[in-house]
Amino acid sequence: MAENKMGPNLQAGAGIFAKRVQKSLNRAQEKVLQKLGKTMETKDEQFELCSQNLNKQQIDGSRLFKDVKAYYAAVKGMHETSKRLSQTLSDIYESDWDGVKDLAVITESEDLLWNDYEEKINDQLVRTMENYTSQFPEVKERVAKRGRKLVDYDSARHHLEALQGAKKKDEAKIAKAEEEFNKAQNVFEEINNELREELPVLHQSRIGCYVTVFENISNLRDVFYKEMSGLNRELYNVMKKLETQHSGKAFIIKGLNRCVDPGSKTCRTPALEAWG
Amino acid sequence: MAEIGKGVTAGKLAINVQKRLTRAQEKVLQKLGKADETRDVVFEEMVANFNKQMGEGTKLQKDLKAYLAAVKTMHDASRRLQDCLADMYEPDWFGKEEMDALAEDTDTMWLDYHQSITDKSLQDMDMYLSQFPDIKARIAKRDRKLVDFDSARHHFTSLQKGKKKDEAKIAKPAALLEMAAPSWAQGLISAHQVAQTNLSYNQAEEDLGRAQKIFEELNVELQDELPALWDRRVGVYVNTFQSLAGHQEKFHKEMSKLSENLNDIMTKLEEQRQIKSAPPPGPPPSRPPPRMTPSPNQQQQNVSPFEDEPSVHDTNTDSTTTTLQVRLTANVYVLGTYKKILYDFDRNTLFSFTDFICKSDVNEKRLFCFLQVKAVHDYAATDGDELELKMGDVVLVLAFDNPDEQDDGWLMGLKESHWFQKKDISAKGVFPENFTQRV
Repeated sequence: MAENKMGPNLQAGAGIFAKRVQKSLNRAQEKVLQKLGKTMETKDEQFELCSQNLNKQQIDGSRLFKDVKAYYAAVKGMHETSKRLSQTLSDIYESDWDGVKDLAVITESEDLLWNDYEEKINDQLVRTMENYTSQFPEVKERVAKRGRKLVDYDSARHHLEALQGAKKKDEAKIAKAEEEFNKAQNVFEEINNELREELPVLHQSRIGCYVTVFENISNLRDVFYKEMSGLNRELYNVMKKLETQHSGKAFIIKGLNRCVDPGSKTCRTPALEAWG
Repeated sequence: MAEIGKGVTAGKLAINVQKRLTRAQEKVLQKLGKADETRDVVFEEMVANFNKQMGEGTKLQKDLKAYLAAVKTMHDASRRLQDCLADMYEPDWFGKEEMDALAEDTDTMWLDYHQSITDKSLQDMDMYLSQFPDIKARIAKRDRKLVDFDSARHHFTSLQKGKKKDEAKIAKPAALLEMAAPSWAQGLISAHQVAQTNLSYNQAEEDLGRAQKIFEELNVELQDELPALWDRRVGVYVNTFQSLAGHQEKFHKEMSKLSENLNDIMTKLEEQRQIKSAPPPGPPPSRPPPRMTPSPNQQQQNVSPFEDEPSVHDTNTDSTTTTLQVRLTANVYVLGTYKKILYDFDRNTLFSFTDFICKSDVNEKRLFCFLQVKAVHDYAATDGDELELKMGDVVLVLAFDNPDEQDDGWLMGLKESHWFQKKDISAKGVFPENFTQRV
């Protein structure tokens, strides 16, 4: 950064030449100060962009977190209703039907699979998002702090400029103002540089987070669905066996006032008993 | 039975009231043990089964409905997640189109699944259950007719028993009456009395027959239907769960494939990212890396601050863009806004510099943007084209004339002091990057 080394300690009244030199010096000084201002503006613009990105990132992150939690709840809902169906089937399944034991095994396996799926979603997705979103409040606090330090810096700068631009220059005051200015500058620059490095990195990290989340979820789903479809097939087969067991067994012979299911233990007629 | 009061509401009402009274009376008698009930234990078992079956069916229907609701919720949650990803996905990332197609397919699959379960399993269950209320009503009707039958039976038996008694009862007064009657009326009164009792007796007999017939009709019907219905339940359950399992299997298989695809896309995206991003280097002052002799250059690129066209590329994104070679020392007419530039040293190291130093030359016609670094360590030049550095020197970084010439970790630059003095870059030289620090 160009330093303002051109002090205005010139002897007055040295003629036109001196005046010209003075002018060009002043202009250079002015430019330097302008550039100082411009640089600050630039940094602010860019920082403003970073800050906006940060806010957007936080909002997006919260949204994803909410949706991940909703997904987790939905999975639990599916588990619950699926379990109830299986339970009802187990209840209506009579002990002499084919495949009673198989059914019990299938029901058990399905339940385990669901539990596993739920647990993994909680660990890999919900926790991840929790950690991701929890880092934002702290960063935002630091951004706010930087803002405050910037204000301090600006005011110190204006004070210094005012003193330097005054008609009667008080060297002691200027020196003190310079010292304060430098201190404010350092404090600000420190936090500014920190954030300038960290914010882009943080912004970048969102991609990593999202990719991780969706990689995990697609992986979990893949495994879950494969296993579940296997269990579905097994249940299908059990049902087929049951159907075979019971097909053609129920028939009515008109004229007899009693049920005629040979499979049922409650009613038998002598005529049908012979068929066994 | 109700033909008598047909069309006359008052009459009909009267008959219904009569019916109910009779039944209530009969029931009371039965409860008091004064009348025997026709009981059919087997039928009662059938009814018990029927009720059980209806209960099972109702529960199953309820569970299916709950399952479908959960499916819908799951679909919505899944789609919201997908939307999150889609919104964040930038167009130049790997697999944007595939992702969108995948999202569509997933959506369709969920809808189909929900639809097929609704159409097959739930509707079948509804139809199955719709027959129960009717049968239940008929069972109740049979019960009522049974009570009617019993009451008619009792009435008839009581008449039978009482017939002889009655005959004895009316004999005496009838005899008296007879004696008092004129000769032509002799025998008529007693005959009349006998006729009366016979009439009510016959009436009761007729009623009994009718009640029995009605009851038996209903009874036989139900005795056929109930067991058949009970056995049919197995088929219904089999169908329901078989179809459900079938659809689930299909759905899960397809979804697993889609998930695999999504996983692939994510993996490739991750790889793409890894290639692009890299941690910014921050080495401490150390010995410079060994210098290689510059290879003969194939192209001479004219790079000087006095080029006519600006060759600064600017982007607004950061390290996810493709690598750019940026030559910084061009004339850039900056109209008040500075731009962030990526400087790629062609070795997949990316720096992003957000500040520039602008120098204007004496007549303010041109503005030069330089990357500025500060020496944090002395460096003694060991070669003719190397730059001598003293700690604290500010160095303006230039691009290499020939990118091939550039060695790892070395930059080309010009001391700021020289620039102030000479306003040209003749005094440029190479220097080790790790001896300097970005300003």
